[in-house]
Amino acid sequence: MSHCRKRNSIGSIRSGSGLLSAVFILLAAGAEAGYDFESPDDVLADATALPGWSATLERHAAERVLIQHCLARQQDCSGKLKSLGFILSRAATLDSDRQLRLVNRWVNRRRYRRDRRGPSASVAPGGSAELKNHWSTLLEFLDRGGDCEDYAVAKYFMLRELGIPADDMRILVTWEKQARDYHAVLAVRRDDGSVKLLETDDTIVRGSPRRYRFIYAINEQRIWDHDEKARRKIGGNN
Amino acid sequence: MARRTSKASTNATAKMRLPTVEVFAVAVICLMSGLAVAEGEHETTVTLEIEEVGQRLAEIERIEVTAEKTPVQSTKDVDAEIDAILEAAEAIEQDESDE
Repeated sequence: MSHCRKRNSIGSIRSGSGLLSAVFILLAAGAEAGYDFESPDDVLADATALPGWSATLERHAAERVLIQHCLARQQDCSGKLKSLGFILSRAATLDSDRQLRLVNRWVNRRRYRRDRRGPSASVAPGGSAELKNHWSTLLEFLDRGGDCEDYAVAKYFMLRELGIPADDMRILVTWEKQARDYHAVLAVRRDDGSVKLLETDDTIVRGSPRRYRFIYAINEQRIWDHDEKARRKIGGNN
Repeated sequence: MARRTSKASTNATAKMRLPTVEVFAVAVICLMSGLAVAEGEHETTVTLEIEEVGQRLAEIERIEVTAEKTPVQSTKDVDAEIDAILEAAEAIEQDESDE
């Protein structure tokens, strides 16, 4: 009887350790499962549906003429445009990993400044009367500084100039669990399918840091909703 | 006898035909009305979904991405070439601000 009991306890220890291993494997997989660029269900709307962001894209399109001119004729540039032209031309000579690091570090050196709130141009039902986030263009950011989403946007526009396709980049808004605050980083999909997050502390993180919960993402084409609860609510009517 | 049988069978077919046509007509009406109802439901679903997407966009717009996270320049990322480029860029900016 005791032998039998011993056998059972060994069996339960074995199954327990198996279960533990499975939990560890799942946790490890969860930690490694990075931000996903491949989930079509997350698409919420076209980028134009967020008026603040859409206006930023329009202003940037106008400013791009200056940036392009500066890249073509650096001697004609002055002020912040001159150093931007210098960084972009030097970055063009580097491999893609080092391009990310250079752009990340250069942008992170800019001045941090909180958003000034302005009236919203929202047309969405129940849209905010006050615009919480001011999305700066690259040149506005270089001129005045900005907060975390402006850092991500500046990196986005610079990397676009360096030839990274819009499909491979998103400005990702996250909920930072420990700080209990919203944060924005730039997510870049590499050729091997891995995703890198360009942080404001010069680090480039691969995978999915557990401190983040992904909320939504934007680029010049679309808006993605990563809040599963909100998505289920919308999908629930189908 | 054979003729009588044939006539009887024709009558039977005619009798059979009438309900078949009626059943067919009823089936078509049911199908049409079913399609109309389904289309109406689809329209309602699409309208609801558009409204909910609009509400979600408004929610997203209200999210304040503040993160009092002042960028920190890390000393971990050491790369002589990148460091040199950053220093040169800083020198350019310094020159520009002095002018």
